[in-house]
Amino acid sequence: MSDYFLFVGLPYAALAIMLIGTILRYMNKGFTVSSLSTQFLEGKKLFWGSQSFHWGMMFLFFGHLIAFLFPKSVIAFNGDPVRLIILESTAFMFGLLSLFGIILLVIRRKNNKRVQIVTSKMDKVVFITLLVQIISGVWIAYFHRYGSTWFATSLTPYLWSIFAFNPDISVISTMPLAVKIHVISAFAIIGIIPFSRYMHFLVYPIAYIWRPYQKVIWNWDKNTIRIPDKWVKGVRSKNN
Amino acid sequence: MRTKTILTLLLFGFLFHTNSSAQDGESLFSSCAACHTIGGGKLVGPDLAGVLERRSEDEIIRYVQNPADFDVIMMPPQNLTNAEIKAILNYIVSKSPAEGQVEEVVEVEEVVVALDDVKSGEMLFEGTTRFENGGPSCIACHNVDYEQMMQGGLLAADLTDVYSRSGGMVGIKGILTGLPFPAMKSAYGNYPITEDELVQLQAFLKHVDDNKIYQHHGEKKTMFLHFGMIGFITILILIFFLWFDKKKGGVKDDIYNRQIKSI
Repeated sequence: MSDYFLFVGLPYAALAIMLIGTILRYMNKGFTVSSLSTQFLEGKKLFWGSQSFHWGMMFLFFGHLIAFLFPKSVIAFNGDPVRLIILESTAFMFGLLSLFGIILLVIRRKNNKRVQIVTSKMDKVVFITLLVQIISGVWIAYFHRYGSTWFATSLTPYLWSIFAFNPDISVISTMPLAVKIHVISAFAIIGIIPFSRYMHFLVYPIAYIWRPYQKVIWNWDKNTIRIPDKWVKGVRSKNN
Repeated sequence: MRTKTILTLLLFGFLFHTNSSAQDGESLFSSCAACHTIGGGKLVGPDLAGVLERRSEDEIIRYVQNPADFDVIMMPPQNLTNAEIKAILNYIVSKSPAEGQVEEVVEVEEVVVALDDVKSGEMLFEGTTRFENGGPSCIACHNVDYEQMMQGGLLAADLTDVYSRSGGMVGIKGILTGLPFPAMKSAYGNYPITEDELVQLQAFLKHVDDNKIYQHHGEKKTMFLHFGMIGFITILILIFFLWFDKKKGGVKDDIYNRQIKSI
């Protein structure tokens, strides 16, 4: 019965909350959709933590997405043992990268006073869910290995059964504990998207990729502005 | 308020939505038949003829729903309701041979396998040749202690001694065709293993079992971990080179730190 609650009830609750919550938040409190950068307060640990975490996460997210959308192709790719090892090691590498990143970010949150002050309760929830998610993921990769294939063969049908409104939990209920924790915390993360900084991945500024770069410069001569004769009366801006 | 009501209704609708329907014992027993017979002797699991004389119904129901409580790891927990298990038991009772009837004893013959089949089975197990119907290679979830092959997966049971553990050729065939484990059913249900492939896998698994005492254990166990670590460090170095000239602190950091120090 608890399996029904965790692997049928929780996913639907989480997906519904995510869908409705994000729309409501975006429509009613659009300006709060942000992950409130703290780069201004502390930059060095953020650089290493954030870079490693986000690169790792991005590859892992799309890896999971590909295995979910194209399970047959993943099984075909993993058919050859050499390719299987290459894919597994690569995924493991990005898992370690994310783990390293999130640990640095947690340490930074905990030890830096300026960052502490802007840390909300929801941020702590975000960090705890992420730690659970990444540690269980790396654990699975190492102790229940070749997840890239068995995800495609056994978990993809479960996930599809959720989306087809015909949930089948026979496989997931026989999976090892780490896999269950990974799935439960994944849906928990989806459920708290509208209430937390997770929101920012839905509004990722993709236009950055093709937007021409902007260089911010002061358009005046550094020497001439020091000569008092050249001073001009400024124009007060109208929008401030 | 209305949104909330609709949401709650939707959620409860999903929570109580179940797709199980009452089925008769015979069709339900087909998933048991991979490992159990009724009066046909031991297969992977014990013969179920007259099981109700040996155990109480309540005990069987608890056992079937969670064999791990009884320290049994070979049998997966079955997602069956009490009523469904009772239907299966009724079927077993109806099929059990009458009291005093002589049971056929299955004689286990000495099996000899062809080396060609062993080699083909190894390639199928490892994935060098793909299954004809597109099923995943065994190595994704299973490991065998066989030095010619890379380390296998650790999700499912180790198959080194599956041949002797699950009742020889018949047992392996039962599992591979009956697919009693949900994860295997989901992997091979739509992509069944062909007859030829089955023979080759049986041969390979017997060969592995026969030769398990001759295996050497090298360093390949940690190969996957090492690759991951090397890759991780490489990426960190790449991040260092690509972004190290980035601004890493506020402009006032120096002033702030100086003042904090002087307090």
